[in-house]
Amino acid sequence: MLTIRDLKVTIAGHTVAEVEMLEVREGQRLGLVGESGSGKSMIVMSILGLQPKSASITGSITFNGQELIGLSDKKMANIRGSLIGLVPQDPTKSLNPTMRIGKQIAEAITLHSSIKKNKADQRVRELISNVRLPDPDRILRSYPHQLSGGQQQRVLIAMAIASNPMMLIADEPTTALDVTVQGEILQLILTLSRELGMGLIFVSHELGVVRFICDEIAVIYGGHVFEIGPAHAVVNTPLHRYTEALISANIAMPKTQADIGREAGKLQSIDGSVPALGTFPNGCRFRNRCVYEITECALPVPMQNADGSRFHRCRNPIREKG
Amino acid sequence: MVTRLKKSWSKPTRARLSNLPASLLIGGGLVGFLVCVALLSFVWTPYDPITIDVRNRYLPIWSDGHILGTDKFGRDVLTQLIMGARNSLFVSVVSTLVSLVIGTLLGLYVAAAGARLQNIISRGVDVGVAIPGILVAMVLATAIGPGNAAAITAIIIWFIPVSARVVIGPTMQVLSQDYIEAAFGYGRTKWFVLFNHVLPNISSIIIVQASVMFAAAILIEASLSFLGVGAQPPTASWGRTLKEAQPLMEIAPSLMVVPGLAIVIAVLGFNLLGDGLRTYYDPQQARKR
Amino acid sequence: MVFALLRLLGGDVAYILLGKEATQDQVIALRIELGLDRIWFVQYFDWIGGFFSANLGTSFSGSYEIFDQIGQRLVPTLLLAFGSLFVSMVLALFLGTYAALNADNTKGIATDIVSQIGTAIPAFWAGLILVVVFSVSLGWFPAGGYVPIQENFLGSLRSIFLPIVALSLGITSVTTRFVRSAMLDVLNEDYIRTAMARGQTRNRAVFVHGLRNAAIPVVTVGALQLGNLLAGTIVIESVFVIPGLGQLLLSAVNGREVIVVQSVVLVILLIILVMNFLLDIAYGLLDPRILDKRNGA
Repeated sequence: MLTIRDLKVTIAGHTVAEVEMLEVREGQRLGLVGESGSGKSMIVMSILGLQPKSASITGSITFNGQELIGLSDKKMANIRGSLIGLVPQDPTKSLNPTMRIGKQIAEAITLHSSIKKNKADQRVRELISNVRLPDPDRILRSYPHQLSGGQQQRVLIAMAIASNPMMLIADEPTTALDVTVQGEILQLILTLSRELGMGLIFVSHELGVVRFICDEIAVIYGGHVFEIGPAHAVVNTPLHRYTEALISANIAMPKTQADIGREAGKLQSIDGSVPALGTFPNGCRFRNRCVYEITECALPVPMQNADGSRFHRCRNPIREKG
Repeated sequence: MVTRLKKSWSKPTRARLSNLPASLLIGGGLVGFLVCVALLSFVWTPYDPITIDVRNRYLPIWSDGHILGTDKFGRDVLTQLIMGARNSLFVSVVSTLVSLVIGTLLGLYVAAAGARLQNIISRGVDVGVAIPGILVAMVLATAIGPGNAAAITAIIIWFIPVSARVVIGPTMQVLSQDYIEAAFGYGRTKWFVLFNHVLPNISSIIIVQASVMFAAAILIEASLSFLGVGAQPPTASWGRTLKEAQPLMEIAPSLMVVPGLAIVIAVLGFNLLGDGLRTYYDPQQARKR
Repeated sequence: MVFALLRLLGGDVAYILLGKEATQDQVIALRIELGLDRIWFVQYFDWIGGFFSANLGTSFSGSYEIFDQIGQRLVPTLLLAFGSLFVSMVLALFLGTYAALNADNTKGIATDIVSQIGTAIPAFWAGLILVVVFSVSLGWFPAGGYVPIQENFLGSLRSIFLPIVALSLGITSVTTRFVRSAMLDVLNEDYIRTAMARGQTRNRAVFVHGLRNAAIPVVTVGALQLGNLLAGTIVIESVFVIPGLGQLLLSAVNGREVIVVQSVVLVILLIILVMNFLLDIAYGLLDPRILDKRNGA
């Protein structure tokens, strides 16, 4: 359904994302995991044509066989919302503060269908109940500031699924939310994507959360895909040293699905921090923070196939049960 | 953890001329030129500004000996312009400096005062800002008669609340810093802290504000003398030259164009200088604009 | 306050009126005639009372009823002030948005330079130039004067068109710069991106969701511009010889007619207050968050 090939995003001469190959099949749920500043948001925004104006993009992103890169804003706008929906990072900043909720949801409907503005009401109410919001009359007439962050995120999810898109992009949808509602929102996204048969790209820095939501995980660092494979395999038997570091940093990894969100606050980080743009080392971009660095790490690292479904780019990978 | 000021009005790193913002260079150039012209008028002008020369009335631009022509009394327009620059700068320098000093002191005092006094004075300052300077000038002109004195006093009265308002916010922000508390801890007095710790930190704001106020003062001076409430004859003033040119617009349109351009250049110069200084002191903030 | 300023600095009104040669007796006689022998607060209440009961007496020169005169001259001044406020606010919203959308190319920079220069042009000079070009040379508009709106609507519009253009120029320029910076902030807001994610193009998203949000800070700035607007109105009336409050004020200043100056200034301040109030209402209508805050919700 979605295929990314040789994507390269540069801002002011610095490469912020470089992806040789990434695929989402129909109904598949792919997780993009990495620390903040790893370029994962940039990758998904490029899919929607919502990258910053200063960014330039080369390579290929195809959706259902149609090339997205180089499309005009107008053509891209026809795809956004109708074929691909977005659940944004910070719901409290993502709704127009001066427009009633009902009108904003209706906008998502009327933009992609022949339903007239005055007839959209029924569909709006349907969507509101789909995202499990109570009291639709009140919600519709409310302004964003009158709702809680969790309710606002539900509204945004309702907008994202308004036109039954084939794919949903969730860009750290719970980071800005209160810990107590994170689990509910994650559950809602998961349920909806199953019910509606939508593909999902789930961006997060919490490997433990992504494991329960996605079938496949891509670990991103410095704009590069470091490791990609089935979710359980990547988490249980990581190949890349960075993945391993990410897992061990994730001390409070939830044990069961019910634990999601409950302990997310205890996340810890890897030693050092993600370098600023343009200051990444040559070769493996992680090597300056990696304890397993060997001399070959300074050379460019190609993507390697480990066993059919698993790929990684590490010069000194973790040997399976070696 | 080091707390940093939200907006940085700290001293910038020394920059080379080529790194300075363009608006600063252009504005500075225009203002510098203006000041030179005004100073020049004390030692030399092309012609005597007051002498009337009936034979050479309404000479057009580029006439022999009169580059910008002559007016209805046969006076040299360039000379009038130069003398006008002197008056314009005189009025704006005096009014801006006086009101900046008083306004800054008032602002510092209010910012350091208790909440109740702050409320009352801030309200008063808000009202003061809302009253147009020209109205104050007209009331004053009724009372003490039209002239530079009325213009300057009016501009001062109008600018005091304006400059106080600009100072209050940043001062309160500086006062909330930890090192200020420490200074009070040594037993420093309020005014010592305000002058030695707060003032240096907000000086760049005041400098920028001064530039903006210069521009506004030049505009008001021109408007007032255009209305006949400002400088009186024989003092040359751009605004009055325009007023005198108004009934002559069909005979000698150049008389009207030239002084107007002088005003635009002067105001533009100070505005650009203010913009440039703001960028120079606070590049991050300015880039966002 | 106006009253206090005039009284404090005013010296002796009667003395000023009669000139330096007046005898002591004459001055005292005039003072009694004008009611200036009374204590200041009696004078004040007399004036304020007269102001609100539509009776301010006649001017010193005795040629007109002050209150009626103010009433007559109110209309052209209001037309000018509100007309310019409306024109410049609307124009500035579009120009500022245009400048913000094109912030990084020549179109935006050009808009920026033009608005910077526009800020520096005094309204009265703009008026003079407009008269030279559009009245004297082209003859499209009258060079001055005012056709009362109740007599000839189109003629009235024609007579105040150039004044409104001249007055709007500076205010539009200043406001455009504010709109531009407000809009640059709005462009970076997540809700613009979300609107695009719903399927809006960039320009439509800015238009539908950005304009109203950018207008909020602009209204605040607009309130600060009101003083300049009214000051500009006074000057522009003088350029175009429009019989408004500014002209009345100017002639009163030259004739040292204290009561007239006081009253006209008070009226102008009231206009500013009313405009401020209207902008305040606009502010509340634009931003639903304000209403909730005011209701204590």
